[in-house]
Amino acid sequence: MKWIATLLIFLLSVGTRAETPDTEVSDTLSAATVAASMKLPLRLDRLASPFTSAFVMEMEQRGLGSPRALSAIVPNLHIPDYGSAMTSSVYLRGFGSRIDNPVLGLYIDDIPVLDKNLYDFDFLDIRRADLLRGPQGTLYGRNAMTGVLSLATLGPSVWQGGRAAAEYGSGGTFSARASWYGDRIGIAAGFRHTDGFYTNEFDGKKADPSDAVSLRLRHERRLREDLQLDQTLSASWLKQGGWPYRQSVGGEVLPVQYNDGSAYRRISVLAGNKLVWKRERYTLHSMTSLQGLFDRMDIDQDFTTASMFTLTQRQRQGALTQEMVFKPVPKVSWWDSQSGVFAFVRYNAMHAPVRFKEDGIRTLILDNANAHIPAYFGKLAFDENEFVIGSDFGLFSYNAALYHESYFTFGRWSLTAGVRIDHEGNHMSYDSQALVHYRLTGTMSDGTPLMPSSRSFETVYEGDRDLFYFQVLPKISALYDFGEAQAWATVSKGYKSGGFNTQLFSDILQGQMMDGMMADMGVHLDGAGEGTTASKTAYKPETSLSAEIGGRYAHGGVRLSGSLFYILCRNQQITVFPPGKNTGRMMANAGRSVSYGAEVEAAYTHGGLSLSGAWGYAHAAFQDYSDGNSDYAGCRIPYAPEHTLSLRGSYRFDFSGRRVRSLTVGLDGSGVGRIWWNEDNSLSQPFYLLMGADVTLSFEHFDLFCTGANLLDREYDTFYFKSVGNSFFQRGKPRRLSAGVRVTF
Amino acid sequence: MKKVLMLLAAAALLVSCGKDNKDENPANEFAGATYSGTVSVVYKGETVETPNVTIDAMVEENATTMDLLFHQIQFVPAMPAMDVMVPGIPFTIDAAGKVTFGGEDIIPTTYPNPMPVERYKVSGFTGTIEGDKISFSLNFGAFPTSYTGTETK
Repeated sequence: MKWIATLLIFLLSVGTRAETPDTEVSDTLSAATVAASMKLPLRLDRLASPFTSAFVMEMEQRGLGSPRALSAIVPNLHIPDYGSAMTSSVYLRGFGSRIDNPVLGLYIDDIPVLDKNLYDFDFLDIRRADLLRGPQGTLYGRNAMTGVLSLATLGPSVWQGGRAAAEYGSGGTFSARASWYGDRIGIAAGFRHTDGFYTNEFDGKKADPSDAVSLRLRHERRLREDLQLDQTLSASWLKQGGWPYRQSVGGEVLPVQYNDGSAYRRISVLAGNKLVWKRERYTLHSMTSLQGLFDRMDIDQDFTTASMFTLTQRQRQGALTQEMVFKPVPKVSWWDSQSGVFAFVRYNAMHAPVRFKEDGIRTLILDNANAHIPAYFGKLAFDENEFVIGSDFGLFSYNAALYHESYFTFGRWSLTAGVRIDHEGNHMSYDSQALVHYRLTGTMSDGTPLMPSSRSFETVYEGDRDLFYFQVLPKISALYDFGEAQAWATVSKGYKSGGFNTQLFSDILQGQMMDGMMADMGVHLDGAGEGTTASKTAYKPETSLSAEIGGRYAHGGVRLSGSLFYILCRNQQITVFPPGKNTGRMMANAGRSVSYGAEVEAAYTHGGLSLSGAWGYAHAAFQDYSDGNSDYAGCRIPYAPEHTLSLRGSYRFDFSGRRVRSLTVGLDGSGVGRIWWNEDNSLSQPFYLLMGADVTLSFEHFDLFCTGANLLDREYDTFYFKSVGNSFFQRGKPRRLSAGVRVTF
Repeated sequence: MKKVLMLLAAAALLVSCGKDNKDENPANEFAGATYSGTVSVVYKGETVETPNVTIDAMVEENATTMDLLFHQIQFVPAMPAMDVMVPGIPFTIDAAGKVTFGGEDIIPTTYPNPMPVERYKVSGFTGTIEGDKISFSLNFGAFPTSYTGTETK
C-alpha cells in the first residue's frame, strides 16, 4: 500500500502553484451537459449511433448502483447477476462472453478499464453514464465491439458541496456513502455490506456475503489559462462469497450445497491524470492512467458436497495506459476532425493452482486410469489424499493504436469517416507442475507386491507462447437533421481482443501426468500424447462488422429513438467445455455468427409525470460452428437474451411547503428472455419480467426513500453451465426491499 | 634341449595368450543395438503382425547376458501397448561375430518402473544377431511370439 500513498501524494502535489479553477457548472446532478468522454466530438444527440444516458439523480432514485444495473434501462444490454463480481459477463446485441475479454468497452473518467474483473463495482457519485451501442472500435479500440460505456464521476468543476446516503434492506444489506467537493478537490467514500441471499445447505451459512469499500479522490484545477488538469485516484476493496449454483439432477434443481470455501477478494486501483491543453489552433487531450488489480478467487469447482477439486486464481496485475487526442480548431465550417494515439502495457502475474481432493482423485483420475490398466497390475493408487497442479503464468500484453475521425457538415447532412489501426501483442510464459506418489496394488503369485514401495512421479510443463495481430477498424456514418428529428446510418467495425486459455493448463498437465505415469509403468494408452497442448491455448480476436440505421425525435416532453442493426461476427469467441471429464473451460473461436435486431426507446414527461420504455430485440445465431462433435449452425448464441424490455412510470408530487418539497412514486419493470443456455438450444430461460418500485420523499436538504426489486418474487434462472458432466443453475435474487436517506449539504 | 624347452615355453605362452584372447568377454564385440522390425504374435490361433516395433538389445560392459527391451508391444489386440523388458538373457558370440542368445523361465518386467510380469514368463527363447539382423522366437506366457528386425542407424 506504500506505493499507493506515494502515488496519491504525487497526484495531489502536481501543479500546487496553479490558479484556482473556474467552477463552470454549479449544479449538474440531474442532467449534466458536459460530455462524458473526451473523444466524443459531437453532442450525443448528433451522433449516428444509438445511445442511452443516465444521470446521477435518476440512477440513485431507481437504485441503479452498478454497471450491471444498467441492464434495466439499456435495450439489448444484459449483464447477468451470477457467480461473483469476478464473473461480470456482458452481453450486448446478442454477443458476449463468459470469461476473458468483454464485448463492451468501459471508460471511467476517460480511463479505459482494461480488465473485465473490474467491470462489476458499486457506483460512487457517477455523474452520468452514456452507453453507446454498436461497434465503437474506431475511437475506443479493443473490446468496444458492440458498444462502449462511458462513466463520468462528479468532480469539483461541475459540482461543489457535500453528499451522503445510508440505506438498509433485504439480505442484511447496508450501504453508506459520503462525499465532499470543494474548489479543487473532491473526495468520496462508500461502504456496502450484505449478508447474502443464498444459503449453502452444506453448512447452513450464506453463500454470498459481501463487503466492499470504495474511495475516490478527484483533483481538478487550471494550471494555466490554457491548461486544465484533472486527476482521479480510485481504490476499492472487495471481499465476497458467491457462486450459489444449484445442481440439476433428473430435472430437479437441488439447493446450493458445496463443501469447499469459496470467496473472491479484490483490491483495485485506478489512477488517472488528464491534461487538456487548449491552444489557439488546437486542443490536445492527454490521459495517462495506472491500473492495479490484485485479486484472488477460491472456488469449489465441482460445486457439490463431494471433495473433488478446488481452484485458486490469484492475480497481481499492473498496467499503464496513455492516450493523446488532437483536435484542431476547424478552419472551415464544414470540416472538423480529431486524431489520437493510444498505447498500453500490462503485466499480470497469475498463480492458479488446482487442488485435487480425495473424490476428485478417485473419479477424475484413478477411475479413468484403472479402466485401462491391465488387471494383473491391480489398481493404481496415490499416496496423497490431495495434490496440487500448480500453474504460474506471466502474462504480458501491449497495444498501440492510431486513429482519426473527420466530421463533415453539409447543410443538414453530417458525415463521419474514420479509421483506427490497432496492434496488440500478447506473451504468456507458463509453468505448470505436479508431484504425486503412486503405486500399483497388484501382487505376484507368491503374494509379493509388484511395487514394494510407492514411486514418485513429477510432471513439469513450461514454456511460452506469443500472439500478435493487427486490426483495421473503419467507420463511416451519415446523419440527416430534420430539426426535431434525425435519421442516421452507420457502418463500423469493432473487435474483442484475443488471448490465452490459462484455465486449460490444469487439464493439459493432468493429461500429461496421466500419460507420463502410465508410460512410467510401461503402459501406452491409445491417444496418449495427443491431448491439448499450449499451442492450442491461444485464441484469436473476435471481430464484428455492423450496419445500422436509426432515427430519433424530440419535441417538448417527447423523446423517441429507434434503430435496426445487422452485425456479422467473425472468429467469435465462445466458452466451451472440452469433451470428457475435464475440469477446465476454454475459449474457442467458434466460427461465424450473425445478429440482427431492433431497439426502441421512448420517453414522455409532462409536469410531474414521467414515462419511459426501452425494448431491444436481437436474433443472434451461429452461421458456422462445429465443435467437432456437433454442428450448431443456425442455433442461437447462448447466454445472450433475445429480448430486453424496460418500462417505467413515475409521478412527482410537488409541494409548496418549506420543508417537504416533493414526493416521487415510481413503478418499473425490466424483462429479459428468452436466453438459451447451451449451444444446441435444448435448455433456455423464457422471458421474465421483474417488477420494481421506488418512493422518494424530498425535503429541503435530504431525501427519504425506499425501493423494491423483484416485487413479485419471480423465480428465474440467471445462469446455467455444466461442470464435470453435471448441470448447474443459478436462481435470480428474490424480492428485495430497502429504505434509506440521502443528504445534500 | 634348452632350445626346445624355450620353444615349448614360447609356444605355451602363445597358446596361453591365444586362450586368453578366446576367453575374452564377447560383449567387447557386441555392445548392444537398437532394432526395428515386425513382431508376430499368435493369438487365438491366428498370427497378428505388428510392424515398426523397436527393440533395444542392451549389454553392460563385461556382461555375458543382455537385456531386451520391447517398446510398445501388444500381445493381445485389445491390450494397451507396453514397454516390456526381458532381462538377463545369456548370449554367446562366435568367431564370425554371430550372436546367439536364448533362455528359459525368464520373468519380464515393465519398463522403466520394473515390475515383474509373471503372466508373460518367457520360455523357449532362442535367437540370433547376424550383422545388422536380429531374429528370435519365444513364448510370452501363452503367446508364441517371433521377431525379425534390422538395426537402426
